[in-house]
Amino acid sequence: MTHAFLYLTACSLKNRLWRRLRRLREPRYLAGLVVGLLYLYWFVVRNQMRAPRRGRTDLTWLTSFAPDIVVGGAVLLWVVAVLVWLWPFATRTWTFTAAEVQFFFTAPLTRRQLLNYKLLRSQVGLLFSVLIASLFTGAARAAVAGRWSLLLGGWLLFAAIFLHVLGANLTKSSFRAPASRVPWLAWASATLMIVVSGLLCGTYLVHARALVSRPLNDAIFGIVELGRVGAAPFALWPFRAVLAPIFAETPLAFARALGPALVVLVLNYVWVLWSDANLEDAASAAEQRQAQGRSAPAPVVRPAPFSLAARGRVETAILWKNTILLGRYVSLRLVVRVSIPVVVMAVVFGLNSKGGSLAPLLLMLTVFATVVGPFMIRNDLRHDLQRLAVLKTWPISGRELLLGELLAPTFLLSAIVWFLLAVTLALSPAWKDGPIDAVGRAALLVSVGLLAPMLIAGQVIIQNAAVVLFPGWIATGGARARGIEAMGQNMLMFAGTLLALAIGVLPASAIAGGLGYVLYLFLGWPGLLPATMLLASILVVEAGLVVMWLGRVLERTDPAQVEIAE
Amino acid sequence: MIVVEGLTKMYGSLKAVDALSFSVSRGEVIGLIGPNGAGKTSTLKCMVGIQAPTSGSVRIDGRDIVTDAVEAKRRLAFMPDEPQLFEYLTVREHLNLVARLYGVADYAGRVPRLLEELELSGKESALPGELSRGMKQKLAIACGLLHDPPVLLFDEPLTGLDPLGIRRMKQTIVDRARAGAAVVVSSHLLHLVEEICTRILIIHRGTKIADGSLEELAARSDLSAAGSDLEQIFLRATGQAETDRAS
Repeated sequence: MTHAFLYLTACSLKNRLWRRLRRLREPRYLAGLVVGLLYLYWFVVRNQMRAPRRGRTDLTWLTSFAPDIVVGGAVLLWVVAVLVWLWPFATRTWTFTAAEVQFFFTAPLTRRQLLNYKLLRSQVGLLFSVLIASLFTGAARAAVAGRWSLLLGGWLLFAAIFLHVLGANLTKSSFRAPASRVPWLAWASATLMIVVSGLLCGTYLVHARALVSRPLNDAIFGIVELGRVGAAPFALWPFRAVLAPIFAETPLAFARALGPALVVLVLNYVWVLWSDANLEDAASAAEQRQAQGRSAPAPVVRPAPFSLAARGRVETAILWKNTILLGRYVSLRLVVRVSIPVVVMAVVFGLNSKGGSLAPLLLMLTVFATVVGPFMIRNDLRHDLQRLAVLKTWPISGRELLLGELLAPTFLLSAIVWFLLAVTLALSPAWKDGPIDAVGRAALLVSVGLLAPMLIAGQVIIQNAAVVLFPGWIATGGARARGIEAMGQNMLMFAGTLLALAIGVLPASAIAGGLGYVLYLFLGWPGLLPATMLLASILVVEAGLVVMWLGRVLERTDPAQVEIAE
Repeated sequence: MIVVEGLTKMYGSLKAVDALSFSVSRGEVIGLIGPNGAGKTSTLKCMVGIQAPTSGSVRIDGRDIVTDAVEAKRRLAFMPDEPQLFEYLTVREHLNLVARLYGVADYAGRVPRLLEELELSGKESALPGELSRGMKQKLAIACGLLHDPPVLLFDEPLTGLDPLGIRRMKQTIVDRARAGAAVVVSSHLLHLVEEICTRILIIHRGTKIADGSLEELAARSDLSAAGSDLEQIFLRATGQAETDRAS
């Protein structure tokens, strides 16, 4: 049976590669590949080939910190493991496709054979990830035994993490059964995890007060030090074992570290093989999720944002629909994903300023929401273009359709930006005590509040224009093209969007800026307001003209031209 | 009510529909049949404005589908073979959206009747992902019928329906035609076409090869040997067309 699985894996790889090569006949993929390769050469290969020279980042100092990094990394791995165990949903380690379920689940195969197949397939992706990671960590390689230790050690680490996540998910699904039917291995593994976590939590809780009172850098070293105290080294042993090969300084040290790492890997493998009781259920749920889209979770019914009357402008109906779309896919998982970096940054900023202002972070988020937000919030034509055949049967003009599609992301991002601006102003003591008086602050607030939605709308229009004018260059729906050529395409589109925005905004900004400067000389900060209103008016006219023109293009667009990304 | 004149649709160098002309009057149910790749779906897509005709014209109640698209589309409904639904909208929200798009002011009163007629009562809060294939098909049809259009186009309307659903769907189509709608049904199910259609249009390689009632087709000299069985008529007509083409 292994031969059949190997054959399938090899054929899949070969055909995927062949398909990628064939699509290079299309100029957009070829251009994307060229840009992607140039990027990789410039930032990775060229960096690797250059001889060390003065001023270049020297990371050999990492060598002296290797033991600390291993302990710190082990603590981090433990935290990740705890999160995996506590996470209420199964993670995406199960990715049986509909075809795999159709062919393998009905074939005379044992569960273990299926598990082995899944593990085999996962290794291809893991090896590729490790290879890419090792390319990007050229400077750090000076601190370890060599390229192969990084590659092999990295694979061991990722494989162990993969197996542990898989085992944790299977164990969690075992606990959905009545207590009397939960297998002994599930109880044993959960108990072991509780004991390990209890030992480590106990150690850190005892010293929590001391840790919090120290500066950030000292606190981090304190966390590492505590990993060597009392029972913590024993509790952290499996995590240290899988990290140690990467940081081995010599081939001999690598060989020594390899044994314990392999033991942890094999133990996790055996655990997974013995925990296969709920394979079908877990795989079936994963298959359903995958059928709904590569990254799309299932929508959850929540109340609509507002009630839609039977009569009125059709643009409002599309805004209503697209706002529902966003609300139904915002999940606890997404909120946690977005919140983690924000909370981490808030803590870092807070610690550095000794409990001071969050204003710099909020300002950064404001800029992020304005500049990057339109690329991320895609509940407009970028989502709907796959349904163009349906949209074209509606009794509305292309202009109405396009305008309606633009509203949801523009309103949402504008609301976020206004909220962040308001909080920034409220929280910033420096702003309050600064050189600008209250009237000036109000003028600045209104100006930024007026212009931010214009910039957001401009980018949303450009993104939607790109999807109408160059269907296939921007992924539609939940699908995303992958590969170096897709990465290059995205970079081209990002650059193109910024260029188009500059062309649209700069001439108007020059005119309004000149007026604003003259008025500022006479009126002070309030002089900005007329200039801002002039700029906003020019941008509104520009946007209106573009929407009218694009609407006509949309009416002529053939749904057959819209390509679904791989 | 529907007038198609010289409709041609090209995909590159491939001519999917070739100078097709026909009309459908109020109360008429026309069956559009043909082998795979005959150009049925392309014809329907051009008729509802999903694709632009390469040449020729389609008029819905006197409105051209290209030059007066919005008014033409207000008067028609297209039910595709594969229901295209928004996976994040519930059944009721789909109908609410359609009501706004078509300006159906009294939709609140129509919805329960329509849901009852299509056996979707009790599913108002369900998402498409929670519906069976047949129910999705019924929802797509409910969306099409909500604004009570005078022109209805069905592409394989019975796909995925259970026997009771099939019977009700056939009744729905016939009832709408009796109420004065012009109906086009594209299907490979010849018994369905034979049962509910008042006229049959056979197309092959994008061109019209037969047009008339079952009796009229059976009476044609080149098809008379097929008798009054639509399957035999269809096979003979399309086979004859192949022979003509070869010679």
